[in-house]
Amino acid sequence: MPLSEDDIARITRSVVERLAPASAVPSKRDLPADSAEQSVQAARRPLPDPDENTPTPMMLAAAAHTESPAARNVNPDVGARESSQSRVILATFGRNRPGVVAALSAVLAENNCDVADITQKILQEFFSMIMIVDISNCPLDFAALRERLREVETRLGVTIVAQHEDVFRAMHRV
Amino acid sequence: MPFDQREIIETIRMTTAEHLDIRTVTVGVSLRDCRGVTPAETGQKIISKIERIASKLAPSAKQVAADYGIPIANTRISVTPVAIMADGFDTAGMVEIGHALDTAAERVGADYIGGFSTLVQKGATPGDLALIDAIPEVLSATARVCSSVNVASTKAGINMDAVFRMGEVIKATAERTADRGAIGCAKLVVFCNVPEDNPFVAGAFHGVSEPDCAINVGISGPGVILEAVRTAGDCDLGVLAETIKRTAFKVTRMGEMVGRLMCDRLKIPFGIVDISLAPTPVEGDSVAQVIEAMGISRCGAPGTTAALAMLNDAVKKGGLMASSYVGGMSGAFIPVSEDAGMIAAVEAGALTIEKLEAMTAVCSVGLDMIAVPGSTSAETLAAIIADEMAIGAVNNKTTAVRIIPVPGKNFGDSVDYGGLLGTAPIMNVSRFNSDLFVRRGGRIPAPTAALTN
Repeated sequence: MPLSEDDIARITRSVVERLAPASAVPSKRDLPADSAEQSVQAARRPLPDPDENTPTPMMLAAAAHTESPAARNVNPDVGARESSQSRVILATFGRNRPGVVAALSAVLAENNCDVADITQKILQEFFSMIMIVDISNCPLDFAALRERLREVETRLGVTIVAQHEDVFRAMHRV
Repeated sequence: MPFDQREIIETIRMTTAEHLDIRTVTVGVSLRDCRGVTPAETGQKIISKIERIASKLAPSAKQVAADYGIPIANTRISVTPVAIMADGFDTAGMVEIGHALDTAAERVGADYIGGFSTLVQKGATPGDLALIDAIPEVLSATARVCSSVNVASTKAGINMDAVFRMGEVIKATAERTADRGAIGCAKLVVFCNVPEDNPFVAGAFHGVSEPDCAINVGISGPGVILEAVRTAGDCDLGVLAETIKRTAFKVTRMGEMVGRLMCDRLKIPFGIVDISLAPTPVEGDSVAQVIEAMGISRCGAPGTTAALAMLNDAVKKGGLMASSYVGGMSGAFIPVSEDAGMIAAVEAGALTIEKLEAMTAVCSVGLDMIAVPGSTSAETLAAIIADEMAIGAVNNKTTAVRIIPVPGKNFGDSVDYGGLLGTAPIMNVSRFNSDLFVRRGGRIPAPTAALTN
């Protein structure tokens, strides 16, 4: 399935809606029509105030991974030997600013998480990153670690989607 | 295990933007060992058993959703058809059991409990009749209890006495919940060839051949299929079927994984994954819109049945390979009120009850979440049910009717139930009656399709 900016726009719009204050989150039923065209238009709107903390769909849309084949594969050697019991995939989207990788890495390092692989892409001012992280030595459970990551989200205005590696294994490997 | 970045993005997109979630993790619980001398004692035993088996259901589902980043929308309980384990009690006793089920579901934090049910395709015992008589009161006085009655099967034919009685029961249930848009009827299904391991309400129950308990999982994936069909673009139908199949495979694998995780945590054996495409009222999470994305200008237009048949078949083929234990309904659902595309098609005049009936011949369920004028007679409701039962019995498949005659509402009005039940436009019902046919009663004999041995 080809990957387009629109894909990322749709993901990130939903993510951002989820992050918004409860009162501002439209109920599932109220979500707006979701045509590809709207997403593209959203991506073309003017940039928001740089100080704005919450990433907008537009910002995130613009952080799209373009289909650059060279950069597409997450290191194929990583993890071939390891159990996936305790690995998570962290996908981070947001406005590029100094310290995003550092802040994330710091939280992970403090909690004894090992970054097994990382791919990062910057498109114009926007940032996206996919990390494969081994959390087997992490003293916190996943929910608590997620809380720590949430602090990074708030502080740096990025969105982090965390899913267990087994989800990807189940869906994409026979 | 290497992952292509596109695979990672695809999965994230499915869960964040295309509404992919686990619709329900349903724990089936046998109540065959819960019989007491009195309804009160039986109710107590039911509550204790459900609490013993499923007390961790809701927290575990929450934990799995958090640990794996996959939303789980509902947790539910299904139980042995109550008429079987409570046979011998009168209607008041059945009502008492209904309340016990509601209490049990509330205590374990389950959204719904299915199994206030009976199977009477060949005839009814006094207990069956007592349960059927109790349905209107139970559905109006409880919040979580769901009821189903199987009135036909390929092997037995169609019990027309039960069909007519269910027409009356639906009317009575609607009247008792008239102040809430007749919502009681949204928790009541009439079946032909009912599956015994269905995790979806309102038809869920835990069949008599099931183990003491089992976990059955239902997935919700129309949004994901819709996106795949849209992305496939202008290809021929063979390529489109392949695209749908591949997507269904991925969705089902995720469902199976979540089911297995829940089994590990609850120490309950795995039952089945139901690979049904279950829509929600959210924009884009719609089976009708999948059909429209295939090239039908409005769901209900000529070609809809063929498109739905292909969709349903491709979903099954993808799902079959993804899980060794596929069961339940496993096809596409076409509930009107729960699907934004269906609602729009009805409002545009493209989709009628008659067209929906044709569609049910090629997909998994039947006339589902259809609101009709409150003036529709019990006989006409029964005749609509009979048609649907005939499609199921002759074609050796499950069909069902969940129809809501909304008191005080007429064709063109609508009624809003909120949440997953959505908004139901009141549909037009034929003004010609079939009263004499329905009142004949008796049993329509099993079709030749029954003679398979």
